[in-house]
Amino acid sequence: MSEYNPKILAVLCNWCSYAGADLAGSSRMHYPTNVRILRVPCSGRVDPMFVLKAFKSGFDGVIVLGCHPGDCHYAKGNYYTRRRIPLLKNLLANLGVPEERFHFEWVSASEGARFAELVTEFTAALKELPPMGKMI
Amino acid sequence: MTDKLREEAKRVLREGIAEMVIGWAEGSAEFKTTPFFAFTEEDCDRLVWNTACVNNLAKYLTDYPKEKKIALCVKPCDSASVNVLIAENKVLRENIYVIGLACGGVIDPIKAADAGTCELSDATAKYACLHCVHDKPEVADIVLGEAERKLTPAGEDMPPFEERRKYWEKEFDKCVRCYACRQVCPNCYCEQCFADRTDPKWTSRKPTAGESWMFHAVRVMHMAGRCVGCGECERVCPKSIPVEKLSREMAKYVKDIYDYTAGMGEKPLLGTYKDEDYDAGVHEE
Repeated sequence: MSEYNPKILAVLCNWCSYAGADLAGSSRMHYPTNVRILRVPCSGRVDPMFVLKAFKSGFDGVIVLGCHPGDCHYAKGNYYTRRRIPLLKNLLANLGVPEERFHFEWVSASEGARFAELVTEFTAALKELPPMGKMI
Repeated sequence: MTDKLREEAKRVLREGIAEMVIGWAEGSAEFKTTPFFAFTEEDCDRLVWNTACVNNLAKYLTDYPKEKKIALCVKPCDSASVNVLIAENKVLRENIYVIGLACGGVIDPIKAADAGTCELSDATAKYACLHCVHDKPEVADIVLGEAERKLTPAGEDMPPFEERRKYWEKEFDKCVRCYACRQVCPNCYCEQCFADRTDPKWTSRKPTAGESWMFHAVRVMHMAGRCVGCGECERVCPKSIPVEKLSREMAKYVKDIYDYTAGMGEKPLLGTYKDEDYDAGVHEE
């Protein structure tokens, strides 16, 4: 039997986190290939439906990254996200989805190393859990 | 009380404060009332107010143009719904006349029929009333009557974490996707619901546990900070799925971290932010 490789959806904001991931790549840093990146214009674009749909479709984990508060390209998009995300976390907890499966963090364009580290840690944590399994 | 309500409704129509009064009237069966629209003073004699007035009439406000002058009878929870609609600019405060009714809880028609009485008690009360957080109508031009809450508040009803996934799978498997919960909700007013869209297809119409999981989870997210806990969704569910449970937990959490109660604020919760908001993106090393 092959090793369990969790599928991870990473939702990255175009201006900070995506550039951070880009930096990690161009600096030749290694991070697990389990992550599938979805680029959004701003973390304010991250509709909780994206995350729920990902879990429903069988993703094992979702990680949402955005600009640090105060650094948003659109001035305040990430403040709205900051309000929304804890509510989504609460909903997932009430639905019985472990909180380890959903991660939310601020990553700036210069934090390539941090991005690689985060993704590595997140993947390792998910490997401890059983597969999410597709809901039908 | 019913007499006072009728007097007030007649006055509203006579003085031209509103073109119509939305209230409750005697229903087709015992233990039931029906939403009633009074256009003339004679109509007003059919209005009633008792413990069987379960419907949240705020639902009807969004069916009419904003300019129409409407008088609406509300319980405290319905009044919170009206306030949500006002905060979201769906109705204009100056065009609605709100007749608030003091309420100590209403009955669940099915439970009451089983018990054979309309008398309000813990056994006959609508489930949401046991979780009620509203003492008085938030928005009201006049408040009629007095009421005291005598119901015993219900405690925690969420199953332990390990059982939740199984629990919801079982519950959502029952769902037939009639969307009654959505249709009855006064604050679900989107012209096109995500569940009806085929592009992007957020959820299919197949009534399977997974698709219903998606529908109900998104509904809770859409109602976050907006659900006033009137419990209409739970009442109308033909499969008795506890659809309001997740929203109720969400409301508690919103109260905890943002000190916000749906229907009590002047601005929508997710349409505003504060610099000092709780930050889930900062993790201690």
